[in-house]
Amino acid sequence: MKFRRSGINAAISPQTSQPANWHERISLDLAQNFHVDDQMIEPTGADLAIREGSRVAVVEVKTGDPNLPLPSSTASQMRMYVADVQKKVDPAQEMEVFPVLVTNYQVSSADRQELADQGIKIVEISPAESLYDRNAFFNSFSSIVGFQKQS
Amino acid sequence: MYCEIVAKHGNTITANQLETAIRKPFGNDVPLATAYGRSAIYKSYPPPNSLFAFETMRNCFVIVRSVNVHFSTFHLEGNTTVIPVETMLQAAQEFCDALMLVLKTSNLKAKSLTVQLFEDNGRESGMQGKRIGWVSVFKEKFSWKELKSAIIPFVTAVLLIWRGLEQKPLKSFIYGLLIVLAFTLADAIAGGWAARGKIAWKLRQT
Repeated sequence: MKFRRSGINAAISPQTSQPANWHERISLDLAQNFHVDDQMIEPTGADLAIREGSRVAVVEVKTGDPNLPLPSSTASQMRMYVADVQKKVDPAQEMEVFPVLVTNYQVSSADRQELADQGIKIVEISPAESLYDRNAFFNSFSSIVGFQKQS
Repeated sequence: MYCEIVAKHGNTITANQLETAIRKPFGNDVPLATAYGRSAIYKSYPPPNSLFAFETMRNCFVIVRSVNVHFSTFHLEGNTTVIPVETMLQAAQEFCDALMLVLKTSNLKAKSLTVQLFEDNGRESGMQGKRIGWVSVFKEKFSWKELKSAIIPFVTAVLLIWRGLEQKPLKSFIYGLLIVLAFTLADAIAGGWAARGKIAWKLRQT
């Protein structure tokens, strides 16, 4: 599996390496516990595509300074990724492709509304890595996205 | 690449207040549709709303994206893709200087300004800057990291004077050494507690 950050593709083997930062740790946690389809996001910039039946979640993990508001270009970025993935999906397959944002930025009610209006689901995580609770994150992700964690 | 500039205001602020304060002083209006058309990220996926846009220094433009309670957000990007990142960062610096002045004169003073650099696909480049102010300089200079080296001789001197040991070299030496050891031990315990369990990476030449 591959994680992209700052234009650099870094291959991480779950058995041998430690994720270098929080962004990679979350991506790795998702990849190890949900059914990831790498083919779907090549060559888009999205972090992960998680597939369950005919539903595909295009996931972007946005971690940054938790004192700052969510970058205002986030919704456009997510729409760009989803459009790129949709181009790869055979219309005959009737797949539902939807964007999921995982973030520790401050999400205001206006941001939330704007993202919801564009069909973007938001999974908020704790502001700091030291407060990150993996199980709570999985529960939150599963309930918001509607995917079951693999046992 | 493009920059997002986030101003944090001391008081709550509305979109109307911001527009009244900055639209006229900056001038050089650009229709939003034109500004979106010049932007790598907004060209194909324009946002549903922004306040207004204008030309700024060094062949760059600014889109006033949003106002939210204490924050106002500005998108700054080059008019063409050939504008180098260095030029755009310089334009961001000059725009921030001008913005601070304009906000100050209109009682919408910004407490802080943060600039983040993004790649064309909206991903954080990892480059983030904060405008330096008196508070941040004082916080840095009066941090424990900066004061640590000065505190040891200060405590040593105070103790020696208090104990009347200035004229007793051996005792002075022992007291000085004990103080240095005590500070080093305290520092090691604090550092060890904070860093325990983490992998200490080193770049080794092979």
